[in-house]
Amino acid sequence: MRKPVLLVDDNVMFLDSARDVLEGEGYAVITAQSGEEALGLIRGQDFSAVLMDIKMAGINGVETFVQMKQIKPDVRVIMCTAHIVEDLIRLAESEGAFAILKKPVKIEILLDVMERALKPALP
Amino acid sequence: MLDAVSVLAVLVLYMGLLFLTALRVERRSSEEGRPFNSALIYSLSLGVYCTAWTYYGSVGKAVTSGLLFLPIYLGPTIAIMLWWTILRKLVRIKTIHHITSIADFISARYDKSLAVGALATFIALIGTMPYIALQFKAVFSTFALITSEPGAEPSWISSHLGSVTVSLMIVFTIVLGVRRVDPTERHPGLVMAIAVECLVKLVAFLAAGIFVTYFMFDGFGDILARVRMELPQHILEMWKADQVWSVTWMTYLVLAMSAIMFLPRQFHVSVVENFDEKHIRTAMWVFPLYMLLINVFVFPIAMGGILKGHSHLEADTFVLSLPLQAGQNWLSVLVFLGGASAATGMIMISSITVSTMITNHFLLPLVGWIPWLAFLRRRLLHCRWAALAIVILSGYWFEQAVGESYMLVNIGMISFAAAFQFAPAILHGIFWRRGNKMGALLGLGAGFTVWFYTLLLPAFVRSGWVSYALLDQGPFGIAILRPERLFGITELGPLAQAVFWSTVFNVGFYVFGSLVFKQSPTERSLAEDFVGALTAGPDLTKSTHRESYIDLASKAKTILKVFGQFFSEEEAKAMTTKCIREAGVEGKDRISITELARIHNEVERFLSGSVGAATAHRWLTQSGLFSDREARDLSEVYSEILAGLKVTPEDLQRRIDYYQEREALLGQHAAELEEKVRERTRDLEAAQEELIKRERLSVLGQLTGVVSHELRNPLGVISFSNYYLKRNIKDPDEKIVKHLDRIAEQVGHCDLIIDELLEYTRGTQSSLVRGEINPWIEQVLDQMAIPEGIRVHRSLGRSLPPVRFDGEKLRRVVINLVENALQAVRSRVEAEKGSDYRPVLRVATSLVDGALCIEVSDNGMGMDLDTASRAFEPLFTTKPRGTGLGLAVVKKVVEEHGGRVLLSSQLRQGTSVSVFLSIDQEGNDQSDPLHGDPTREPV
Repeated sequence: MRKPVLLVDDNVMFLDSARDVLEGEGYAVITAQSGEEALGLIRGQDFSAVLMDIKMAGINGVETFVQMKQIKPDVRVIMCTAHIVEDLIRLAESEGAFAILKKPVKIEILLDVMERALKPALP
Repeated sequence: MLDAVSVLAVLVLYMGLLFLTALRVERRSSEEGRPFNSALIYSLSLGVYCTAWTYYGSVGKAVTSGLLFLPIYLGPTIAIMLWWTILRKLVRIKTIHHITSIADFISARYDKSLAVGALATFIALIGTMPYIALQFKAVFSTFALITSEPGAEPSWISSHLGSVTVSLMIVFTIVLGVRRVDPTERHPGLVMAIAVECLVKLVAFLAAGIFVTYFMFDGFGDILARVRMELPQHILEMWKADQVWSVTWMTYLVLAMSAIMFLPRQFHVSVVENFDEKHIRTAMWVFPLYMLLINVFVFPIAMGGILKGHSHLEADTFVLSLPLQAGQNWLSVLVFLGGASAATGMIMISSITVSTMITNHFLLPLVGWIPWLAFLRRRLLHCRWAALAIVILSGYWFEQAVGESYMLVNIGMISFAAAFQFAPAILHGIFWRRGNKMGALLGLGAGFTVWFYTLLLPAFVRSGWVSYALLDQGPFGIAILRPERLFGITELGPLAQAVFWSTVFNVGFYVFGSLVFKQSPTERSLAEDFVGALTAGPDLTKSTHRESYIDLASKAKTILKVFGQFFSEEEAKAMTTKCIREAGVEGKDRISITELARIHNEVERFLSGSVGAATAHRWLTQSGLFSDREARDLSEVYSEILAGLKVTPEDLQRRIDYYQEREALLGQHAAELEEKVRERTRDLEAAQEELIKRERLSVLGQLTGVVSHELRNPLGVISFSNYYLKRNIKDPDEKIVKHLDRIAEQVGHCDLIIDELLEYTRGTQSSLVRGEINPWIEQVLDQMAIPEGIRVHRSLGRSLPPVRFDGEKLRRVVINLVENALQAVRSRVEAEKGSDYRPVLRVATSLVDGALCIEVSDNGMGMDLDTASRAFEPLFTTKPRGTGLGLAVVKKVVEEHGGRVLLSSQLRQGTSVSVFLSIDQEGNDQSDPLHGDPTREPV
């Protein structure tokens, strides 16, 4: 039983459409509309992967990611962004984000990355 | 008694010494550039007032009329008090208007009238005649006295004394004073000679006086006592017989007061020869002193002679006879020399000034009317000499005709009365603005006529030239018009009444004429000038040398000669005219010294052009274009300028050099600056453009950033939804699938557009990271979706050095280039459908000329020349859809890497785009050797 995937984005439409697609692919999806919400959720449970938008109202994706790591160090986070904010991306990279995707996300790429993220880490 | 030859020899020697003194002074004056004489010399020269008449005649007058000799000296002494106003005014006017004689003065004041000038000259001539006669008479009688040996044969000299003296006088006068025609009529040498003569006569007279008073008698007291006791009765009676003594005394006083200023020779020495007004102040005490000294012994000598038993009829020569008879030969010679000095001084000055007047106011106007006399203009000097001879000869003739019958003093008074006729015209001229030409003419004319009739005519009668009936019964028997008793006035005595009537008529007609007739405007301004001369500033006196006195015609001839040395006559004439024109003096008769200098410069410049500066200069200097005097005047002008600048000539030269250098440097500097400014402006404009562009871009970038983010979110959502639909529609038909695919495609397209837009408008933050290019390119190409059927060759060079590049940005570059290539081959496939065209793409990396080259080439449609040249232009595209930013982005990114991109293409053959990046050399940012304008494609 795979753990659910967490989608974090302040765009509700995106959350909805993405959930539909991912669920269609067989993932369990939980959504959060903000970084704070996401943090709250991750305290409560484990996720197999997190798909997080970088640019959000409130704390941004990278910040959230950093805080998440403190809660769940093994968490695999895929960042995506419509905006190319250089330093944030670099930061995310250095913090160990699993991948950084550019919006609009190509579905195939997303699915591919997801699969990889869900694979257990090699010993 | 001395012999004639030695006396004459002494005289000639004395005159020679005077001449040498005069010459030396003249030389000094021309060397120093200004007249040499001092205030003392000037003041002494005024002593020419005391002529042989004074010298001898005052004693005679003392004998016959007691103290009647005094007013002749008191008059001037009183007049001197008025000098500071009157004389100074006359001098000032002289300087401003270049007055050269008394006739000149009167003529100038009255509208420069020829008639007035001529009349004044005539009066001067006639008036001077008796005076010169007087001098001759004195010289002759004293010479005879000093050389007479009772019983001996008169020597040849004695019998021809007249001609000898006259000739000597003419020669000496010319030599001392009329060697050149000087426009200002100043003769410093002559003035010096006169001053010396005045000194000599003073000394001689004093010597005689001292001798008589202290050696023949026992001093003043002795003489006075003796006079009281021994004075012969007839003397006293003579004194008493003069009933109108007081009137005569007054008349003498008045005449003497006018004589000190208005005798032509006095006017000359006191006004014309004055060059510094301050000298007048000195004269104001020196001259009265001189007068006093020369009078001190008159009375003693007079009384001494009488007391010694000499006849009163010989009183005129007491001064000489007393020492002579006392056996004092040297003293006698000295006395004679003194008297001769007095005589020659008077004759020289008078004849010079009257000859000037004759030449200027008689002769030249005459020459103006009678054309065939024009040759005289060029012989001005000779004319002066002739006039001079005439004056002296006329004086001599008068002496011969009249001298015997009159006593010296009476003749002298006739001249004084003539000079007095000038007084109204001159005094009114400088104090009354309304005095005008007609008034002057009428006044002078009337006064002169009366003078002639009442004074000169009787002299002729008395000498037997005219019948006595005129005096006795009047003209045509009209008693009331008797010359010496005009209109029945007998109480005044002949002189006084003559003076009275002549004055009445002179002034009367002057005033009448001035009131009745109007002044012309020029005359009015002249009147203003004259009357207000003292109120005008003294700086006017410096204008002498800037006035036009140089004759242009003669200078033109000199210039013509100079040019004639080098050019034909025609050419020389043309050049001369040109130079004169360039100097701005064409058509002028007379030019000033500054204008002459201008002409000189023109000529020199002209000539230098043809024969070189040195030759030109030499010739011009030799040509004598500037006479000594003119050269002097010119240096005076420069001195004035220098003085005004308060700077020495060396200083000035230094300053000029300095400023010239500065000017040259500044000129250079200015040129350099201009160039720099131009450069900077260009740079500034370019930078400005760049800035504006960047500004626009930055705003645009921000805008685009925001917009693209806002666009990307919805696009993301659309693509998700679209995917979902695709996945979940049951049995979709082709069309539905097609549409769903289309949606996906279009979303992808939007994304690309946003990408491109972002890339092009965004800032320049490329992070250049050192890395290997080949693996990176492999990865990029792997990730790209290459359609089926198109082969992409990879030709990656081996052992390529690392480069610094921004992976993301360069990815965009590669992607764009590959996309373009794909597009190109696709087009060709479309166009050449059915042919065996095989689309081929090639991506190669290599090292070219020290730079890393990434080349993307295809065998697609290619571009024509126009398209190729515009390929990198933003927003330029041949595709029906497309932003046209693809290659622009490529160019931008490559330039950010410090690299270069080149495109070459051939229509229907293929395209190749090469990106050159600089090799990373151990951390140095090398600028690409090929960095330049990539739009210049080798096609």
